[in-house]
Amino acid sequence: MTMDRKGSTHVEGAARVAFFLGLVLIAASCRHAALAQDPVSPTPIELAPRCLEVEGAPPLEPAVPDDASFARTVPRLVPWSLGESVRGGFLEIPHAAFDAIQLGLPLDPGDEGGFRTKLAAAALAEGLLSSDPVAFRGGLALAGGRLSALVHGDRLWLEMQFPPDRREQALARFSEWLDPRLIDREALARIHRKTRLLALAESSSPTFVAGQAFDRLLGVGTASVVAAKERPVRPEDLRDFVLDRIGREDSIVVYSGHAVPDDTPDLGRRIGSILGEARTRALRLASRSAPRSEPERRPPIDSAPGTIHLVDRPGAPQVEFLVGFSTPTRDGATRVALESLASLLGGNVGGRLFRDLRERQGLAYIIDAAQASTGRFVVTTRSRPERVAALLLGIEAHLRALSEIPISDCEAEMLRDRMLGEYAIVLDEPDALRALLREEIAPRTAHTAHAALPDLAARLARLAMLDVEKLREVASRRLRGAPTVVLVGDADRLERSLGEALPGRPIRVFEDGLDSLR
Amino acid sequence: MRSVEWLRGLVALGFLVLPFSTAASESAEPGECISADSIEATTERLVPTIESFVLENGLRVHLAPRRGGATVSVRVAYDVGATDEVPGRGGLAHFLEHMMFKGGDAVPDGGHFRLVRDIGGTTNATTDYDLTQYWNTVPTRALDRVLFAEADRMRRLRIDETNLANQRDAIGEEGLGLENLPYVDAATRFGLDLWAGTPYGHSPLGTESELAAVTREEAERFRERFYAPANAVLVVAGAFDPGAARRAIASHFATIPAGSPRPARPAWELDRAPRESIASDPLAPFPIFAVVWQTVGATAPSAASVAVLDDLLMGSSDARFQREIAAPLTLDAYSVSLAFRDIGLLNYVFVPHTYVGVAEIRAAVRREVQALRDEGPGRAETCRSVQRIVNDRLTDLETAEGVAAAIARGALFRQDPRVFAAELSELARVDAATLERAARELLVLDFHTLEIRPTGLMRWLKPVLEFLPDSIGASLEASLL
Repeated sequence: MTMDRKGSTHVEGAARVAFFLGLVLIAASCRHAALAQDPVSPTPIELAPRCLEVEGAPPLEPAVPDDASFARTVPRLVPWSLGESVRGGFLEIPHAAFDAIQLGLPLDPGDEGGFRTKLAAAALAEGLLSSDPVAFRGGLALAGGRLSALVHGDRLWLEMQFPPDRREQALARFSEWLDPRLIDREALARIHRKTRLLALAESSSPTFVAGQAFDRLLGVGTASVVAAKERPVRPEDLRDFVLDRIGREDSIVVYSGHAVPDDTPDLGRRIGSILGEARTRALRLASRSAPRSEPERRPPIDSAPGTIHLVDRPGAPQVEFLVGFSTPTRDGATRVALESLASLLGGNVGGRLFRDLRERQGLAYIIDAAQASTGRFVVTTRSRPERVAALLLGIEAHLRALSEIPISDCEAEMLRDRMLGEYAIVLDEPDALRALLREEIAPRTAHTAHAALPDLAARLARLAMLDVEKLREVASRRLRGAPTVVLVGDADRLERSLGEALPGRPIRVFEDGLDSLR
Repeated sequence: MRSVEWLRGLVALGFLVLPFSTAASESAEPGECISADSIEATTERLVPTIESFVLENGLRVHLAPRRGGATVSVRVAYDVGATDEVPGRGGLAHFLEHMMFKGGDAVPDGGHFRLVRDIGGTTNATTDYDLTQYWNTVPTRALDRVLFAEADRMRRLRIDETNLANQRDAIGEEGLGLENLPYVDAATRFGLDLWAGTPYGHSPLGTESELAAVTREEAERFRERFYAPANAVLVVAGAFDPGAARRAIASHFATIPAGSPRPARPAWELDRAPRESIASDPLAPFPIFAVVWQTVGATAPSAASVAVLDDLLMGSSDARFQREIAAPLTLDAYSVSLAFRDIGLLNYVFVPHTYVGVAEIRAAVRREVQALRDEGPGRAETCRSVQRIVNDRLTDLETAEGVAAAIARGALFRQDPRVFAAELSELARVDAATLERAARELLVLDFHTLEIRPTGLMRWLKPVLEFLPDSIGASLEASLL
């Protein structure tokens, strides 16, 4: 759970309110009469102009200058030698107002969506595993610090930010933070309830449901589902869970600040010492090793090509879309190409889908595409039920065009500029850069014994080398064929209207929502 | 995407902010919670310089270069918002915001998005009651191009029937997304009622009928009246050459006609009579209870105190309402407080336990407010809240976009682009006595309340659970959660 800065509340949070009483007779299911529809023919998509020319617009300097100034835009990451069980370094972030320590503790496969992991994050974020949480928070207050704990990828990230001039006080609190004790039962009940509510709210979000359904259909990832009732977590379970992760090998720690201090090696030794002590303590104190389990991998669910999978959400006034392909890859160049293709298609407001399906045809308000690090290339959007058929056909037409119509030279050049520009912005924004670190720290796989610190310069080089042939090759090879289609909405209404609008198209309904897919 | 920020604040049901307690800095002066020198040093490092000038056509320009990095943020803020709309013609300012992306003099429809996104930048806009702002963050090499694009749409907009219809649809979808969420409708009506009779008493989104009635001529008139250089502030912040920026700005903006000064803002009075509202919401799965106080606008002298007071009441798990009300009586609770130029709210939402009635929460709020009015806050809790607010504001200055936003806001609200630094100093000076005075003035015991009740089974089950011993409801909650 991430400590949220006040002011960052979101309207979407309204959907997170407790769905209490597993009766969860949430709202009357207002079943609308299905709209009668005539068969829908696809509107020809519009790709032109492939690249924008604006008369009178000032020219751009090259994105990749010849001199070394380009590489100097990458923040320095100075590695430390911290021993066998942990890797780390100092990251210089010129405009950071605060110093920060980011510690990534390894999780087991399947842990990342687990309730116990979320509970641990919630407890850690409030300092509730300290011997005296009130005193801990008071001490942190003296350091002007703030905490967050979140799960990203295959790690539990513990992060502390503090003013640079309070470093010693902050490090003392950091050491204390890595010494988990038994949580107070009342506090545990409170965060258990809160975490459960968050999980329930998340699981009711159509975006989440669509993602889970997609992964389940393709047999990728490990479905993060909310159990009808979570097994109670005892204080000892929580403490041992955290101790076990602290005691594991393969932690990663990054200290960041606005300037590399003169005493960087000493700072590294100090951090290494804190982590080493924490690990030794953890190995001694853990009452038992937490069982390491591999989550059940389920095979893909077979469906005929072109099947529309409807996940029922009775009474929903909007329909959530997730349309795409499974695209796992370990090759860095292919990954960059897929990310670029997603940007060409989606690109937030700059992509083909936005221009054509929203601005020209008015079929959706938000529409985007992404290549997720989990290995899926997807288009996401939502719309009114009466527009679903036309929007779906439009999305599929654009996906076909992407794989069948070669990307133009100017588009490839534009994509390279865009990816480099996006990267430059991330490198310039402290929070975004820290988030990138979490994303880029390589997940442990069968091919890598240990995760590694990210090579920010290497990513920059890979982006600079992006070329049109690679883009065309990846588009035609990885994005061809019928995409997997998931729609989350009122299935009763949709099944009828889609059946009329797209006659002959296979439709598969999951009436019990995600439960049907388990 | 573009959004109406005020609605987020009014209706959001976010999650509890996790604790973040603070205390006095060891190097602070007695009475100070944080060393003003320390804040000033950080502010100077993040925003070392601001160069300001005014073009002949009245456009106010502020340049904030800084070393390091390779990106720059360009923000144009127009002194116009929903408060400038005629009653019954709501939504026009927001509508214009959408139209600003439909093509200008040289840039075609949708071209602004592409210009910025093609170079990897981000662009967005927002309309609230007071301001309409457009921002772009791009690699430094694209600065001239973005200045060209902003000048292009300031100079002329392509407002035609096709664009109007298209954006009417898009805004309709934007509103539908909000309507799809529980609590939004009831909370919106309540909030607007609180501000009825003032320029803040209608929705910046406009109603469906108001949007349908917008004509091309009306949109043009609104644009001519408010989208003039004399009514705008241009800010450039980040890694850039100020000399090159000055030349580009002169080249692109200087020939845009000045336009007329914006009309004066009419005076208005706020009806502070307490309101107690009960609403039903078929989308709501569970009841909520909100308590609200009218406070002051962002430009008021006591704005800093109000911000700290808000945090003191609900900003962390050690905050008063959290500790004394939320923890024992609720499933969840959080702050949705707001401050616009001339109006503000302290607003707290409680999601009660199944066995806790609204009356109990109301009584607890009154009790805590009375205690704060009578005894004032302690120094430690005051300093904790001051530190949190200061840290949040300093974090905002980490990015070029955040710097540009702070400068634009200060320039328009208080005619001082560097007022954010003075505001930080004001915050650092907030002490327990100041908070006690603010509490006495603003936290009246006749506060506004809104109760939103679900329909269906829950509507009837909850009163039963409130009547039964607490242990039954608590057991039920524990067994289900």
